[in-house]
Amino acid sequence: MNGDVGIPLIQTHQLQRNYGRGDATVAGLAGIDLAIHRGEMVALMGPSGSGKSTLMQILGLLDRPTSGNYRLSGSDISTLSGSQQAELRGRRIGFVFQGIHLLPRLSAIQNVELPMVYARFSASERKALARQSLARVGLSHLANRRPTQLSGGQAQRIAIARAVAPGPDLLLADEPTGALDRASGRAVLALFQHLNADLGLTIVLVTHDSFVGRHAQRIVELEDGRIVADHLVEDRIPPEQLMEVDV
Amino acid sequence: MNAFTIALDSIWAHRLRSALTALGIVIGVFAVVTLTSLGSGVKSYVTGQFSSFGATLITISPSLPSAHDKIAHHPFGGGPKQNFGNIPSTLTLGDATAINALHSPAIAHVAPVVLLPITVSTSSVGSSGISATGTTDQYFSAEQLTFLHGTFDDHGVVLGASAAHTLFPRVKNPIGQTLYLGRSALTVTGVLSSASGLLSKAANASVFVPITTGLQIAHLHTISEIIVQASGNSQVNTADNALTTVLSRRHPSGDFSVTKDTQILTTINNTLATITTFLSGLAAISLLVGGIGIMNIMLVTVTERFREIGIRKALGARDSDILLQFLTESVLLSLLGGTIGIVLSAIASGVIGQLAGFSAGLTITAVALAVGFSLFVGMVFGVIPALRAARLMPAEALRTE
Repeated sequence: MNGDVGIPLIQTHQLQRNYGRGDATVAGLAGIDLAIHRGEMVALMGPSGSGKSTLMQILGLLDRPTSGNYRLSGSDISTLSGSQQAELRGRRIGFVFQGIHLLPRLSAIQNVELPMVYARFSASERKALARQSLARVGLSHLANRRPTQLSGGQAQRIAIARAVAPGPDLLLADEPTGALDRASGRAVLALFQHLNADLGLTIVLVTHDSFVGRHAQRIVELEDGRIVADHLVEDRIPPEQLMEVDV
Repeated sequence: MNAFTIALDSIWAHRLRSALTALGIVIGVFAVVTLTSLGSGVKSYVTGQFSSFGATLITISPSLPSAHDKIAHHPFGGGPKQNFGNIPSTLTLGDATAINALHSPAIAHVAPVVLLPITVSTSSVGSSGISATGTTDQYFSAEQLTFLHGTFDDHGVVLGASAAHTLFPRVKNPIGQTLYLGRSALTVTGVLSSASGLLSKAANASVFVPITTGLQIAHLHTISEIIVQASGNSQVNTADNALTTVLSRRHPSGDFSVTKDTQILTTINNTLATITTFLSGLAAISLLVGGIGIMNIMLVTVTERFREIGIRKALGARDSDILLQFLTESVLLSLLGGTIGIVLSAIASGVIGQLAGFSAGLTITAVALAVGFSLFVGMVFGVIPALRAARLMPAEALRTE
């Protein structure tokens, strides 16, 4: 996947997603043309109902477009089978959600291992990558905690560890700081910036908060399912020192 | 973290609900296995009763003349040929003697039997309601009756165990006492041990006199039946052929019928098998209901766990992974129910067997049937909920919060 630099990691053409049928059809996305290259950190911004989450779900293969074309690393997604898409989700794409979404009956490290279980990594490889990933988010000491024993900020960082453990090309985050207090939110955003800078991980961040958006290099603004602005961030908030101790 | 441990964990996480869901299968499997076990228990009890001395008895009884032709075309489909008191007997002592005279190695004992229509009493004028039978000493061997006191001789009378108790309640050993059959006074010469067998119990409430004496007292010339014991299970048909040949010569009109215990045994076994199958079939309906219960709960579980399914799919779970996860859960639930059902059934069969006096252990067949059936139920009724979970679009699953 480290192919030609000229081919964008993400490229969409006239992407549409309609909800409902017949007269009641509502356009979630009304023709999106977007290209995101490797190593970019992009914020998708817009008011609620603008289609930014829908776009992220299609980019993450969690949803299918009604029409239009989406190429991930140059390959047309519509030609892939369900299990091929599942494999891409497991190995190439990492997700971080607003609701955190750790499985409550698994320990932190078991949660981190889960995508690698589905991607059929060997047990030893899984364990090693999970530990490495927990260390990267600075939470090795919480490996055996249950999600209910973690603070919101800790849980979200475990979720980030889970998303990046298999070594994906793309990290998709939907309002990742929405459920967190300001300090935890900033720690999470700093972590994103470091992952982007240190690993060259492509990050797409969905947010309605311009402060969060200013952590990205580029902002794509949506309204009513269309892109209304696409520009680089001039007053970017620089990566903070990573916090080793929890808030 | 494979499908199996995930399923176990999920069942454990909702213990009460899992238990209630499995209850339907518990009841279904319990009913099927218990009924099947009791059925086979009764069957082996009956077979045991017959074969404690082998199903070797052959009974010759009077029948309508040319029974083979006439009865076969009876408008009611050919009723029983046995004498129920309305068919005049033409069997005589001579018939029994003729069979005896064969000296066939296949025949061990020949006992003519006559039921005497006379009163039995300890005084010359009373009546006790006890029946009197005329026969020979071979009868006791054929019916496996043993003597508690004394013997059967040519002049006296032998008492069945309960007959002795009824007639001489205060006498410990009634040998030498006088018993009136009609107006004839006879001396008691023997008392039988109590017979417990299903087929020989009738002897307990009867008294026995030598057949010539009995015929004289009752002014009879014909006898009620002839009991023949074959010398072994494999000899029954040979004995049957031999005695039928002799009797056919003596009774050209065919006014007798021959019944083998093996036939009765077969008939009883067939009847029991039919009843067991029928009842098990009814019980299987409760398994079906249990299966629907599992489907119901699994559908609820899937709906409740939309978010979990969404997360797993976002993390790379294939449709088949999710399908397997939920199918494993329903099969495990069902197997759990089946196992508990089998255990309960083992206990119940044991208790019932103790109370009823026969062994009703679990049969391998019943257990295999139950396990197979619960697996089947879990799969069939788990498929729809599992497919529903597997086909969920991850975005849709994650939207439900």
